[in-house]
Amino acid sequence: MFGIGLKKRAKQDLRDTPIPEGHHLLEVNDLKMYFHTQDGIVKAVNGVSYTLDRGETLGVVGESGSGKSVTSLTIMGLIDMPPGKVEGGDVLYRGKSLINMTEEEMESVRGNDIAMIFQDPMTSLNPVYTIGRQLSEGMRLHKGMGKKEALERSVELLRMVGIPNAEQRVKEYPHEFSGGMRQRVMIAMALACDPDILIADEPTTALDVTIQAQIIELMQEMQQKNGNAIIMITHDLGVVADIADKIMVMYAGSPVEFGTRDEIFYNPIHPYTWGLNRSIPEPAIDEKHPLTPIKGNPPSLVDLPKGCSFAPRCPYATDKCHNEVPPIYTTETGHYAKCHYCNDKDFVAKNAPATSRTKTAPIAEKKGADA
Amino acid sequence: MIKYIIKRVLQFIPVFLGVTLILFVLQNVVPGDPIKLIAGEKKLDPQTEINLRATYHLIETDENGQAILDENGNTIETPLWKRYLQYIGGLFHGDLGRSYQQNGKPVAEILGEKYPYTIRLAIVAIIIESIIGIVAGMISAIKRYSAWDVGVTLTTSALVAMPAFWFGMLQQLFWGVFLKNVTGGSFYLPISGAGGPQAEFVDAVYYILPALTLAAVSTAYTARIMRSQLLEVLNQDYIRTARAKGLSRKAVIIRHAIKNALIPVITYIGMDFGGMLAGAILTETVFNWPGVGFETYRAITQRDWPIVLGSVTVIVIVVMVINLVVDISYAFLDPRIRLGSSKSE
Amino acid sequence: MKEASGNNFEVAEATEEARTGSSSTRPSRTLWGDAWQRLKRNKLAIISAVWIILMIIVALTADLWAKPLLGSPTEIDSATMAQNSRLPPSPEHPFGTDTLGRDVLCRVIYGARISLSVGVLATAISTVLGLIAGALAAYNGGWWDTIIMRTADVFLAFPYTLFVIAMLAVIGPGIQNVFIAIGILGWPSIARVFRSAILSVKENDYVDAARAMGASNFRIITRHIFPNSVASIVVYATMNIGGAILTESALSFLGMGVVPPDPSWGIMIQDGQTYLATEPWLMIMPGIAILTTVLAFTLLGDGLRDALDVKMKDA
Repeated sequence: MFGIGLKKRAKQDLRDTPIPEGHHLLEVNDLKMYFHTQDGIVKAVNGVSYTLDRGETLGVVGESGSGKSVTSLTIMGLIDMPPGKVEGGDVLYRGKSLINMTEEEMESVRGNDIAMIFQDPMTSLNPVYTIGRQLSEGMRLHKGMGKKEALERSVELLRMVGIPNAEQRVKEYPHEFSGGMRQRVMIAMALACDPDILIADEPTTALDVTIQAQIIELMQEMQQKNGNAIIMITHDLGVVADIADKIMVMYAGSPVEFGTRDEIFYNPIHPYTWGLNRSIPEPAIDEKHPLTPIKGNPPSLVDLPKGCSFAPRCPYATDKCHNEVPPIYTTETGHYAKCHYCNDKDFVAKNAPATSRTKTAPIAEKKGADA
Repeated sequence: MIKYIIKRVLQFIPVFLGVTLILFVLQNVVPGDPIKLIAGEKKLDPQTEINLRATYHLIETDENGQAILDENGNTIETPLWKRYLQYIGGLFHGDLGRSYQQNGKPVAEILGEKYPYTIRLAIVAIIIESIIGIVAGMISAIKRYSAWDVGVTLTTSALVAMPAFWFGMLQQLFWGVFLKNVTGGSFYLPISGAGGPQAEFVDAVYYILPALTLAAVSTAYTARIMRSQLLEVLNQDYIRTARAKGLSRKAVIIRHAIKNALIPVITYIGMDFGGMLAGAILTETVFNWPGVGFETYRAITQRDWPIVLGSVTVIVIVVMVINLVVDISYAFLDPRIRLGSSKSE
Repeated sequence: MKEASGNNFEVAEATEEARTGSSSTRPSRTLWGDAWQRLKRNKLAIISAVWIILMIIVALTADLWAKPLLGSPTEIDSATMAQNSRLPPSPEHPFGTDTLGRDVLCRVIYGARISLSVGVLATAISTVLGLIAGALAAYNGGWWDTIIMRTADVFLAFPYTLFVIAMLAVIGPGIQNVFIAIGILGWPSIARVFRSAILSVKENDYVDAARAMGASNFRIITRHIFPNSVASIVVYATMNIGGAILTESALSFLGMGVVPPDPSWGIMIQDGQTYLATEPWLMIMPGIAILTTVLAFTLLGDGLRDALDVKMKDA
């Protein structure tokens, strides 16, 4: 029973094919994933676009329900359809559409070319099987390894992610590991087949603060060693501050701002990103830099506001915002935002937050450079 | 593990004492003198009556079983608590007392004759239940909302809502009467038990209808539990992890879902087996099956209390042992329990 | 992680809640309001509820129409008994007649009285006893808890059918004794359900929060523990009625329950057993009555469970 379903099936790993001219490692183009429910159509992902290259880290930031997880699960082909349905757009991996792949093709991509780590390490491992068996599975499946070989490699992987006494621990069960250790196991599992892209969905949310930094560091370390790209999904702008090359801020299923890390932190142009920036706790909060939460709740994804999705919560919203869907405004660096007023320099300069980070890069100068 | 077993056995003792005590008291508060029940309408001469009272431990006796008399030459009635202790003491020698009827035949002997029928019937029923229940529930969960799933849900709801004895009679009606009429008597199943209490011959065909009847409700529960467990497991994070590894849907179900989902199902089936060994009064009555359930029912209606008490005592022990075995196998299947919680959470 | 579960209902609900801005501690009034909205969508539960109400009306008004139309369910007319014995179903006697010449439909209708009253009264007894025992165990803890729950274990360790039969053998058959026996033996499960409901609610973060905010015990019980426990009790009691009806039919079938000539469905099935091969409608009709009634209570219970979002152990 234990060998069932582990036949080696991929003829050729996709990651060995070169990226075609004019393409990126991963391209997401105007992706739309809707859920058809009794209560209506839930527009969970509504027009997400970005590109990613090897060695890069993309941070996807947003509140829960903003569609950040659904986006990556769509890329992985892990959304149940129905109720889910891709209503438009495409995902290209090395120039090949993941959306149009057959289930079988997708299975050889999953865990092999693109791997994923989930939020809660306590529930993401099967409690009734040993760590070794669960680690081996992917390698036996994608690399055609034998049981023994895969187990030896598992020990190596555990050692690599910093688990002491790996020969022994590979025989243990998940409940014998602490949360941080389990997340290390998850990382080892994701990296087992040397993936091109590692998607980490809130990998540190369920962990202690002290462990969080270790896990982030481990992922960076592994990235330097393997050269893979990382998509880091988080609700915490602080988590991606140090590691992301690019950041996409999502709100109500759509990206509201996308740019390099510096652009998002030092030169944000969307009021929602300002709000997120203001709600990062700073070491010294004084009257000048108050910690301001964003008021209100995200809108229903079944019944989005007529105009800008963020308008009901936006302190600067005008009638235009309430009635017209804002276009995407893109600068020449590829920094884009979805707001009627984000190309209004005066508006941005007047209202953007003066976080401590901006001390090193004054808003006004940066603004001029971008516009 | 051994600690765990000892703990469980110790936990069981007060429950066991409570159950037997309640029955023992019940038996003795019932109006009517047991000797009258034994003798019926007959008049007994005083010496026979004294001997009878001695045999049933109702009066104090010496080592030779002779009644001890007080200074007035009367027998001394044994107090209830002492009789209870004697009863518990007797259990250790396999002594369950004597029947009020059947010429005072030892209860242990009577139950010994009846139990094989009950056990065999339970085994056949449990096989039916496990196979049909697990397979039906599994398909239901995998093909959720399909016609099959709806059918299984409706069937199980109906089976659980109908009286087992009525279901048994419907079986008799269909297999034994309708089929017999339709085929002109060339094919039908026997509708009554294994030939009555005296039959030594046990033909497999006699087992079909009683076993189906006994298994009906349990099969419905097994299918439901299997379905809901599998659905729950398929919703777990680790299933998504397995999918993210690139395992196909089928491989995920076989490698990651079934074992986890089966653990509670096996527990249920084990406990249910214990329940079936308790004797299926209704099924055995409908099919005239010479098992423990029928015998206990007969004893209750005829106020043959020692048999009632004896069979319930045995049943409680059997159920307890089976539950213990189930718990141990549960622990064996689930490493979280097997290895204790010292390192976890 | 709700968005990732693929469970559309959850997504919708999460967003629904976000839009209305309601927090998780809603007042109990909308809990029942929401439950009613959800229950209305469950067709099976609604059909079941309608069926139960219909049965209650039929059972209550039977004297007004069933008796004049179909004859007495219990009395035997010795003059016409022989020619009316075991007639097959006909327009005059839709379900046929029994051996003593009584109309089977009429007996089934009057049987509903017995079954429903046993179901409801026995459940009421079990519920009251169970609530008291469960509350004492959960609130007082310690020795109270140990003794009450161990006693419950003792009761549950008995093979249930055997226990009821033994009890009736001691106290004698008859409808009142059936209420009492089923009612008394039903308390341990309700006590367990209620106890664990109280304990789980007690351990909820929002109860801790309420306590931290200085809410009194009384307030915690009435505002937090009670509404949540009541939902599970209502669900459990509804399902329990079906179980009690089944038990009553089994007892009467064995001759330990309702005493003839009262028309219990169990007795009617038992009477019909003899004529299984020749006049099967005698046992089929009352069986269908039991099946539909018990099924209706089970499905209504299922619907209530889903509507009230009560977590229960399986099946």
